[in-house]
Amino acid sequence: MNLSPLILGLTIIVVAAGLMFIFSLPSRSRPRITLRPLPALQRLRRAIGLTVENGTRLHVSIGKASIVGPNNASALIGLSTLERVSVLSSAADRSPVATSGDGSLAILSQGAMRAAFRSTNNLEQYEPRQARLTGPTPFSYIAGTLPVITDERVSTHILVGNFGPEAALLAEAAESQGAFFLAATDSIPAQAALYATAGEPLIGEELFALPAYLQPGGIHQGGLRAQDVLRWIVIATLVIGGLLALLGVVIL
Amino acid sequence: MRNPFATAVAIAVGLLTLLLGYLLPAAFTNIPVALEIRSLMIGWAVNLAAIAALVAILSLVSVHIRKVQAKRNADLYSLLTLLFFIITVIAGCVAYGLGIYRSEYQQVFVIGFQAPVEASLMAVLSVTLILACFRLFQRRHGMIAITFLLSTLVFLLFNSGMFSLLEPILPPGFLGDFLGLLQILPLAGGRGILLGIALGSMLAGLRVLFGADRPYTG
Repeated sequence: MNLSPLILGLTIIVVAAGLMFIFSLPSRSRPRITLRPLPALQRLRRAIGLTVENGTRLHVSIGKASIVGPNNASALIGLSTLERVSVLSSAADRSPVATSGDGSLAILSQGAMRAAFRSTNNLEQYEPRQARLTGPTPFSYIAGTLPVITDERVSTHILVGNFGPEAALLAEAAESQGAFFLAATDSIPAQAALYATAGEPLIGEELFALPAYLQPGGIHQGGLRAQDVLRWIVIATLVIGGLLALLGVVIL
Repeated sequence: MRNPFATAVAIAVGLLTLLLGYLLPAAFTNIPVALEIRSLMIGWAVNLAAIAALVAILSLVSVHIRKVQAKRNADLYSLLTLLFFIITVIAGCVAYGLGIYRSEYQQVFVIGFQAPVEASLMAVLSVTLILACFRLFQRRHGMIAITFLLSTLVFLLFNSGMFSLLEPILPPGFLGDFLGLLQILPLAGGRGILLGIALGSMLAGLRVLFGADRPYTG
């Protein structure tokens, strides 16, 4: 049996875990982590503040990825974002509303909102129906989410998770209501559609930076820095591998 | 304080699945006990996901019932949703009771009702995207917006097949090579984005494995 892919996989995971752990440790000698400014996320913070002030509602849609499927990392980011956004808007008159396109994700989104309300000593305001499944198929999910945009006095929409290009319909509906709309997804076709339609699209792996920007300190920012280091390692490996291939040297 | 027991169980099961499922060589994971543990945990996950789907659907139904019962602005669309939900459930039960094959049931309800509705939404989506492309420059300025629009137009033209008309006047094989070269550009860009997403996914998974993100302890 060829062990090299297994050893390579294990090495990458151990290196990633080690880097994340090291960068998460507080150190006086290391300079404080300053995150690259993402204008969309700065505007998101302002939009959350305005939502709290003007008595409207926040809507977080966390996609249709199954938690037991291969795209579940984007769902985890969506849940983390939902919890953080719920904490940030805890002073609002209206509690946020969360929508999803998968049953297990809907149950977990109820848990994330409950955790946020509990951490802000606001558990009596928690309403399980505010985190709901809007449809079990991609289009029924979008069709079920559209009334949330039009009927529930929402002024800030955050789409974080796995979506198809049909999420553009949500972006258009939000724009027609004059609402703030931030979209981050791991699907490339959806990124293209949302780049054209969403007010504030995040591209590529910016989706995975969202928790670090909303939740200062600790392991999230350490993870972001580890991701940067790993990205440079991947780039160097690709360039060196390409050059070696040009020279006719085969390693693996 | 979040539930430490749930966190400990999640971390232990996560590590076990990672080791048994992906990282340890087959020589270790083919041991009968290891295989049993792995299949047991995957079976539990699938069953729990199915139960969660059922609970979520019941929650969706309760949301629509509430919308219908609202004293102000009762939602008639929710009434339709509930009506068709009940019809679909009854039809599914009757079909099962009569021994009608799943494919025949799907033929009527999925292809007959769901597919046309989704196709019409797809049509709305295509119009929406065309309009969004026209409005792109109102929303965004700069090189990325220009590149996005130009590449959209260029690949629309290339994929339309109209350039095959030029084939007789070009050197043999030139058009195929040129188009092949251009097709590499989106592939390379897509792979770059996917590599970034793969790294982000791995770190998101590790955060759950370390117990830093706990989406299960609501």
